[in-house]
Amino acid sequence: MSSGSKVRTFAVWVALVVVGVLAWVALEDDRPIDYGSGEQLAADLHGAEVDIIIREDDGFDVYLLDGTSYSVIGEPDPGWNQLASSYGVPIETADDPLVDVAVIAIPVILLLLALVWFGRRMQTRGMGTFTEMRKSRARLLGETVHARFADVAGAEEAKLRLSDIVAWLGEPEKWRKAGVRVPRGILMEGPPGCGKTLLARAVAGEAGVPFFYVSGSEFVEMLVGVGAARVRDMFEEAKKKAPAVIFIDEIDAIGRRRGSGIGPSHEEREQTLNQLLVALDGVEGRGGDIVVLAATNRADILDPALLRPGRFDLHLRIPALDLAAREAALGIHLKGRTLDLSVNLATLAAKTAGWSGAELENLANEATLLSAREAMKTDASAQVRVGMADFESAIAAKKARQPGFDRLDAAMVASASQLVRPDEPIPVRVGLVGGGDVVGRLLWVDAQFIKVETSVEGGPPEARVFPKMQVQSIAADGVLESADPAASADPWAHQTPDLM
Amino acid sequence: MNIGGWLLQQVSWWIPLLLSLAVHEWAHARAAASLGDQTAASQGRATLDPLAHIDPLGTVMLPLLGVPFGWAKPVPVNPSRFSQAISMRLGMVWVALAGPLSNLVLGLLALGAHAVLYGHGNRLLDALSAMTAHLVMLNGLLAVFNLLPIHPLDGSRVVDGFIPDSLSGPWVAFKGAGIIPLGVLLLATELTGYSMFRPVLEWIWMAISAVQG
Repeated sequence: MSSGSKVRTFAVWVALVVVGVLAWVALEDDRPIDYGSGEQLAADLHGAEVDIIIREDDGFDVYLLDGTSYSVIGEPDPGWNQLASSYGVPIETADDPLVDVAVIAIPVILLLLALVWFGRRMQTRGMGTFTEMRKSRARLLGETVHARFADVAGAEEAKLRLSDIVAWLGEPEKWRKAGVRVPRGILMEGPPGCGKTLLARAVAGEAGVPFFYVSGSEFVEMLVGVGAARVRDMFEEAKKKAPAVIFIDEIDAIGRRRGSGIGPSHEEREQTLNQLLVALDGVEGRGGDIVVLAATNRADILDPALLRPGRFDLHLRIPALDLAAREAALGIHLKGRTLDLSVNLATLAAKTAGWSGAELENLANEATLLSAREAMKTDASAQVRVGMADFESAIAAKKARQPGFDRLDAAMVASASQLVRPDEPIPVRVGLVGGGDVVGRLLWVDAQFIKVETSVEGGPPEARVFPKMQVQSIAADGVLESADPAASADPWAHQTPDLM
Repeated sequence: MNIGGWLLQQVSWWIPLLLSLAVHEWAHARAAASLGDQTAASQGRATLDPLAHIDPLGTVMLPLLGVPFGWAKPVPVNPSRFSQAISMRLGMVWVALAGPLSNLVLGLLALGAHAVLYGHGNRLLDALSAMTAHLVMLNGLLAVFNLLPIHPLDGSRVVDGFIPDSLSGPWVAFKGAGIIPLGVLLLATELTGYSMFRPVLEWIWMAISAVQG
């Protein structure tokens, strides 16, 4: 216990005792302390010594002419009040009508206060959070988004199509007069890190309109109806700021094909999707100049109703970056940093085949960090110059972390029984990320998985576990062929429906 | 009765009640802390500050409404955090006993204070002696009442610690009835007018009048 709370405790005790004493001193009734009997009262009345009698709840207080007093408890001799009036002694009642009011009113007031207090607590716990829950979680990223198309490397075709949207967002009236129906929804599809989010921001940035960002998974809740309410709320919000751009990231979280699952959470997801479809239909009809951009890397599992004209009718494939795009991306991400003359962006682009824009951004950052760390060692105020060696070591560090293979093409075994219970090392052929293949060996198998070890030239040995499903068929020559890649592409395709 | 008398009655009983409940809960928290369980202490309950122990309904509403019954916020105890030196069962018994014991001690202290303060004819001292008399009565009652072996009361925790296995079945069933047995007891006391606490109150009165000389 800290000394502060000790002081507080002491203060509370003193305050309570002082209040008690003061209340006592101020309110203590001055009723007589001595008690008398009915006989004594009668005797005093006969002796004409009584000044006044006051009726109390529990009896009478008798005040004598000599200044002394006593209480009589209960109802004494029944004839005493006639006796008193015959001697001309007044009998008054001490009952204060206020007491009757207070005894009833104060508890009732306290009770009402308690009810209000509990009610308020209920409200903040129950209803309050529930209405809060139905609010869209879309975030409005300012009236001015600073991203521009120039910040996006590659994706030239997508930029071309999107610049139409930008022009329309600028002057929707003019375009409407010309009779052009612009796409309501644009679905951007591409591998992770290829710049879909950046492109969406750039659309809002170029057009200078508000940008609403929401992730598809933010609509997903256990409570049925919450997701749909959030969709409605988001479109209401956006309409107030129209023209505006709504960007739904990872739309596959809600846009998955309907009917692909059983259970309440699927029902909720489908309700959300239905609401989204309705909202997309109504975007123009209800006078809101809103463009909905959505991004996914799983366009194959989206509901067909999302993709029909009138909803997401413009599909943009954002490809992985090619050589020129990678060079451009590195240039964008290294803007404002001092580069050593040794740095050749074209060479770096060639060395980073298959890298996404996000990975290139990371590379630029890592290299700058390395050179900065080096520069700080010698002189804290030295200017940071990023050299080619920094890039080389950053690339090497990333390649060491990166799995060399992520796809099992085929397993070569002498006989099918080897896959069930191998008794010698089994060579397997493994497909590499960047194309090509390499031979590794089978470490173990069980009912569902096999574990394969391989080493890409120069790298450390890597071991990975694959589902056996991917190597289902066994050719006559003892080679296990890879299963249909399309079948294994959708991990949900093989999943038994979850019954709840 | 006048309004002042009514207010005085409320204040002169409620303030000693507040202090007694604070001491009771503080004793539980201190006992648990002394065995190594800082749960209550970390929630700021190992304090004599009455404000930390107030339950809005049980400490404020009901007593001020004239209901002769109340409670404070219970102190949380986690026996699994007790030190190894004592078994969890015995530890819980000690923590449970600490509350009523503290009321016994506070009642005796108040009795001593009352003996000193009583009968000086000074209004301030009279006020203090009246409050100490109320403290004596409340703490005596709290100590006895809380030791009743009925479920939410401290006495039932003591039984928890010493119940033989052969009786644990009926005991658990009795506890499973929740606060119903206690409610029945209190209602019966209220309705029949016969209070099992009357003998207790009479002893306390005897003690008070003994020190008043």
